[in-house]
Amino acid sequence: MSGLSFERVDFGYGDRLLLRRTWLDLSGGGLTALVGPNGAGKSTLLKLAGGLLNPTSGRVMLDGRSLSDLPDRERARAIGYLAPDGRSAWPMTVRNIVALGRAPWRKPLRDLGEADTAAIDRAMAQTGISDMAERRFNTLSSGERARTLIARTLAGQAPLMVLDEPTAALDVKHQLGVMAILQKAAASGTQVIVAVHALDMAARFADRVLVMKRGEMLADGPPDEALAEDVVRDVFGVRAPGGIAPTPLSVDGRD
Amino acid sequence: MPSDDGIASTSLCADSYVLALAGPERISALSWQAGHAVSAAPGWARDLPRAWSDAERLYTLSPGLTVFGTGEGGRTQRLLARTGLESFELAWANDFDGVRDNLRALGERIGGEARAAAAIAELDARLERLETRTAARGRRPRVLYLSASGATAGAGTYVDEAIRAAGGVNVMADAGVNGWPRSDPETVLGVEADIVLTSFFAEGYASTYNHARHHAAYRLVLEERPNGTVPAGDWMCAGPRLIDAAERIADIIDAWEREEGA
Amino acid sequence: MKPVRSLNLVLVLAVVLAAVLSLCVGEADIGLAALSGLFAADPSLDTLILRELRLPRLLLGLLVGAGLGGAGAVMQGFFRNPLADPGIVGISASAGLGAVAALYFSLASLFALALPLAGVAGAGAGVALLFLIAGRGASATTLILSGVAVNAMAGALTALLMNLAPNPWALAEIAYWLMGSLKDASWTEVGFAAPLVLTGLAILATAGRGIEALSLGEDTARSLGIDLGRLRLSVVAGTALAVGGGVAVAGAIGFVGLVVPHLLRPLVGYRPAALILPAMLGGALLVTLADLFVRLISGPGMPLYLGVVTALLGAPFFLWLVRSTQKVAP
Repeated sequence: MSGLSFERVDFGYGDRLLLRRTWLDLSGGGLTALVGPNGAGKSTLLKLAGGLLNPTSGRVMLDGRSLSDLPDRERARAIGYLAPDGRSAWPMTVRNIVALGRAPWRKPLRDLGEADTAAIDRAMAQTGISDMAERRFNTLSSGERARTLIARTLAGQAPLMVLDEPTAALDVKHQLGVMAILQKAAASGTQVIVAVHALDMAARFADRVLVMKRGEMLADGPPDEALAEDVVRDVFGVRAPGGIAPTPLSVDGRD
Repeated sequence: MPSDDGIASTSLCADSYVLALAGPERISALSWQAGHAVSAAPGWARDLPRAWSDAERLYTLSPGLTVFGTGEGGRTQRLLARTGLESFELAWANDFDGVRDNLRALGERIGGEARAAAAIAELDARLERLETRTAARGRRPRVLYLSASGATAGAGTYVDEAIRAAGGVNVMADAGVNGWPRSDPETVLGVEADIVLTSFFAEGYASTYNHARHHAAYRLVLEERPNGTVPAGDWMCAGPRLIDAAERIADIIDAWEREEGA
Repeated sequence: MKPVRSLNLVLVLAVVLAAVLSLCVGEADIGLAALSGLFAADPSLDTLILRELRLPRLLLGLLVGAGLGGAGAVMQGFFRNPLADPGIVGISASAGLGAVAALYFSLASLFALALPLAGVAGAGAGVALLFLIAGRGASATTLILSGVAVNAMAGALTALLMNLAPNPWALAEIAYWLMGSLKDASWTEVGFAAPLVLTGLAILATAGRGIEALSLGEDTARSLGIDLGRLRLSVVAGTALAVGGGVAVAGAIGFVGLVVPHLLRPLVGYRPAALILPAMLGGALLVTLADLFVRLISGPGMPLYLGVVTALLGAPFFLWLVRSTQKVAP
């Protein structure tokens, strides 16, 4: 558990506010899904949560300290962030990509230590990619790549993970796989905040759903409340009689 | 480092000075260009070992004194100094005064002051004879110098000096040009020259960029006016052979005068 | 990381072999026995040639090569682009401009380190200009075009200085200097370049962690605790010192920073941090071998210029590299 909270956070450039007067208490743990139409400010919120952006006004607090006051390394060890664009500049092996997640723990110019290797192995096991360890990133399918990048984030062993649309452009089967991994991670004590675009996935896997539109938080609560019919209509402009139902789909056969 | 007492020179320019001031017994190596057609080195000199501006080569030759052309010393000269090898770099010369200064300086350096004085005296005597020839002529022709690549020489260059010593007027200097500019075809066509002077390079220096020969304007100028050539070896730089170039130009002027029908 | 360690070992061995060859081969063939008289009061000719000519020339070549290889590896890691090379993006040209300007305005004689520092200043200005034009997270196209702009700028100013040269001989001097050469390098040149290049190499080595994290993008790198501002500074400072110091004493030698990292990258599993040391060693090796070739082929009075040789090897390589990266991802 880690105590992340937003205290009256604004973020914007000039007159344009991407995030408006946001108060959030994210200290509860579990898996929180962040949903909203394009341009709602989800990426902005996640970057603020990850300490990649500083609020224009207000504060993002972590365990009683302002995020912007934390030294880079400490912040990196406390929060793992997964960027939306899942590409690697170089065709490294899966193992080496996952190893990048150990950066906040490694001493400069030193090789990977025992703790690092253990964390890497564990992360690969959690994401089911251990048998692909020596394959090159650019030869992987999109689902395998998504899992590799999540393993990279898991390898950092941060108590809080913030992920920006890890399921984007994935087949349904792989979306389910990714969400299942995140759910298991949340169950074993890591707090997960993840932006998703598939509402039924959010409904199925999240303990709590945040609904955003145009920089404002319009709903915050368990899925059956936050994804109720009227919210969905207001925010997304679609009719979902009875609210969003959790997806009934599951992966056939082995994981 | 032990060395012979010989003198080595590293380029054609340095060759000409060394040959003017030192006898065969004192010269241990001449430049790598000494064997080329453009060189004015005497037959016996062409069998000497070759020197060029490279420290390893000069260490191996270990001459008593290495003579460099202007600007050729650089790092090589410093490296020679580190092992106690003596060297001398010629100063940049634009005119006969510069030639005299170099002769004097080099003469002093090799203990050949007497020979230097004699060379200077000969130079002065030949210049005087040229003056006499000039005075004997009716007028001073307008001379245009064109190199194979179309470069010309204005005031303050040794080409200008040679032309004037020979009794001509350098049209470029007359037009207010200084130094070594490239000519443009318009200027060349527009300028009124009685004689066009070219300098040919034989072997080794063949210029692929033979502007002057191919461009129509230049060809026109070369065909229309009487022209003469001075071998490039005479005036690679302002050296002891500059007077030879001047004399050759004077011969060309005499021929022109005869053609004009005095 | 065993494979990388053995690669480095192999490279060190290769460098040592090339060094021995370089010392023994030349105008005069010298046996290494001549090294024994190195500190003798009255050395033989062979020892003299070895001590005053070949040894400093070898060391300078190693320094210049290591600087170019290391800078190339770090730049490619930082810009996430295999086409980044100090020559292609105009850093060598800027360093050359700095040095030529110092020669032209007679600043080089002001104090001992004036010329190499002018080269470093030029290189620093070039890198800063490159960053300014290319901006953050530049794509391949933007980077190369920005490099073209920097090259054009440096080239134009150098051409101006050449245009204003007082006579054809001064002009030729600048032109030949720009072609790049280790000819007649002495301990003086080594003493100039070594502190600058070695400092640059040390700074470049610290950039490993940052450029490795950059593989997944700027946001990911920052989330991993990398200070991008500081990383940018180390890349600028490291490149300026490592490349500028070398160019100032040896002229513009290109393509080493392009060829070496590219050839070695697959051997280190494409990991940017692991590439830095091998690239330095590989660069040192390449320059030493190229210079050996130059010394063997050069005729009396008609020296072959090292920069010309590396360009003749590197330009076709560059063409091939552009084609092959086009096929994979434009």
